[in-house]
Amino acid sequence: MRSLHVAGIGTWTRGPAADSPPAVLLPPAVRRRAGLLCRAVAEVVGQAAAEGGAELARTPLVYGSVYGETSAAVEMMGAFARDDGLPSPTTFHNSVHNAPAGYLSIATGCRIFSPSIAAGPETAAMALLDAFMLLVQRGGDAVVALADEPVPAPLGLPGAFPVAAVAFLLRTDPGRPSRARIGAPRRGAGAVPPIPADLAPHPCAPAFRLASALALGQRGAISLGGGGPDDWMVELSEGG
Amino acid sequence: MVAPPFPALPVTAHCAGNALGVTTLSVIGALEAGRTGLRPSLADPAHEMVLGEFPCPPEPPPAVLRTFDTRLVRISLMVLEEIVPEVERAVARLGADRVAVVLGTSTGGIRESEEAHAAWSTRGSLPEGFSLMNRHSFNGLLGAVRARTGIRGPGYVVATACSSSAEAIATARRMILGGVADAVLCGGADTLCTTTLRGFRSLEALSPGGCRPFSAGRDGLTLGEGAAFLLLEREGDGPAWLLGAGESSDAHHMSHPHPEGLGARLAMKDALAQAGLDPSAVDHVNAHGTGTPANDVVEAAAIGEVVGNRVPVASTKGYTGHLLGAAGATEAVLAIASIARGFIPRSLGASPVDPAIAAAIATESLRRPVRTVLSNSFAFGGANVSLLLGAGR
Repeated sequence: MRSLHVAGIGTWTRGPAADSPPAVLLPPAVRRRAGLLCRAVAEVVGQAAAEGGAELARTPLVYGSVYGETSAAVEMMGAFARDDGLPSPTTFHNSVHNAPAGYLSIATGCRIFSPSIAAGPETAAMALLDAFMLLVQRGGDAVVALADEPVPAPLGLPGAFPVAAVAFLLRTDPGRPSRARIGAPRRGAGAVPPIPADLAPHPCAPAFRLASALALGQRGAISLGGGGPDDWMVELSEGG
Repeated sequence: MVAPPFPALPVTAHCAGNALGVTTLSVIGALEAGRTGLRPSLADPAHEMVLGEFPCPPEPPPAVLRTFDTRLVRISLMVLEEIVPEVERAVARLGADRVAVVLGTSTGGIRESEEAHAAWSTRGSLPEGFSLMNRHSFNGLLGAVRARTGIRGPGYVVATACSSSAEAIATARRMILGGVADAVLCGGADTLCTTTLRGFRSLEALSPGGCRPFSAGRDGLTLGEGAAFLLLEREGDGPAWLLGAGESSDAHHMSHPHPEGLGARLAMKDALAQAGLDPSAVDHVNAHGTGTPANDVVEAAAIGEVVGNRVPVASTKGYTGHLLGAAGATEAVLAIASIARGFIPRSLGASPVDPAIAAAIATESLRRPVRTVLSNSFAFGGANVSLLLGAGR
């Protein structure tokens, strides 16, 4: 399989008012338990699925995050400093990297395995590659979602970048008009599309640049790194 | 038997290290001797508990890899060393870009992040050398393994909690079948840390005296640490082949299994379907078998429904503890040992078996030909993987 269709995209960035995403995909009881990163992922997956008309009960999610659920992890570390401090069971299970995939599968009823991955600066490229391999094996649709939240102090800098998420609905057979065709990630040089300044330091910035390219209708090689020949890139071409 | 829809892939090298030993041979030797690696520990000073700690202080990495220095990386590199020559030969033969790496972990470098947080609490500053990207994040493990092996193909960490390294193996298989790579170093590692020690205690899931999977007296799981790696190739030979890798989601609850084991059944059936094998071909099931009251009974019922109640089932967590993200790869290595040595370990601590469990729990070790093993890994988030390993394609 040399290319897939991008049938929908979704983006969400937390603004200065520290807003929370609607994340209507999640039932209220699930939404209350889920962390902010989970809700951000649910929001962008919902947007991408709505645009492309995906049936989420049959659509696996490939979730990529460089740092994962750091709010829950650092909250627990604060508790450990207090002698015998125990985290709440919910905080503990919310701290796993695959929490968004777990919560979304509960919300959508999707029983197809949804991988959760990390690869440092190559996380966006590897999440897209994973989705390509899934669709080679089984066909149909897959949603790729990338998200990160600022790492809380003292381990990180709370204001370094905003909580933000982006999703791409990838489809084997378009069935309806798609935004573009996308080739499998490979190493090579490519364009570095513009994104808002606050997203430039975001760990998933390459994915936001790809979303920007899709929104602007750009075609050709799009870098998933800094643009150099050793970085990962994808080719965008006209959709179906 | 029908023709398999997907080709089997040879496991051309494998290794494991954990509480049973630092080398694969010592791990298998302890398993065959029926010796547990679980011991009382004060890893969490607030609570003595039984744990499966790595048996020696893991050595620091070479200076060039010091930026990645965590206990996770130390254990990983120490265990991996055993098969580095085979990996380097694959890189030389196939080209560094055609060899990929997929690793599983659930905690990454969080042990060092906990230490950094504690240091900041007392001293007001983070320790020298602390790095979010190279030590805290999963990228540290990936970077260290890439640097040690020279692999330049696609590489990432799969983090689906306790099924992470089983999913890494499933992903490796997909990479080769999808033409992305010709060989994939896959596996995983995890270390003991306060997050999991206290987290599982908050879930009231820890056994005070050591886990006893499938036993009427089981009272929880025991945590362990270690690493295991497999080299999966498109062509070659080895003591075992990966015949299938079934995957599913429970879509039920973040930390409880589906009450009817629906996801577990789907994963096992998927693995068998990929291999084109009838359930009667399965000679042994290496169960996820954590030792918690709910998980074991659900898994045993699911195994019974898929392969029947006459296939010997064992959990090896009574030997190693629950290695979380490293469990799937470790148990795949133990499954390979069962195939290569004609040996089914006794399910340590299982006797007397819970009468509610109908599966044929191996309360004694068995010597017999073993051609096909199912190895289960289930996780938080309902992420299930069942690997099917066999003596030949």
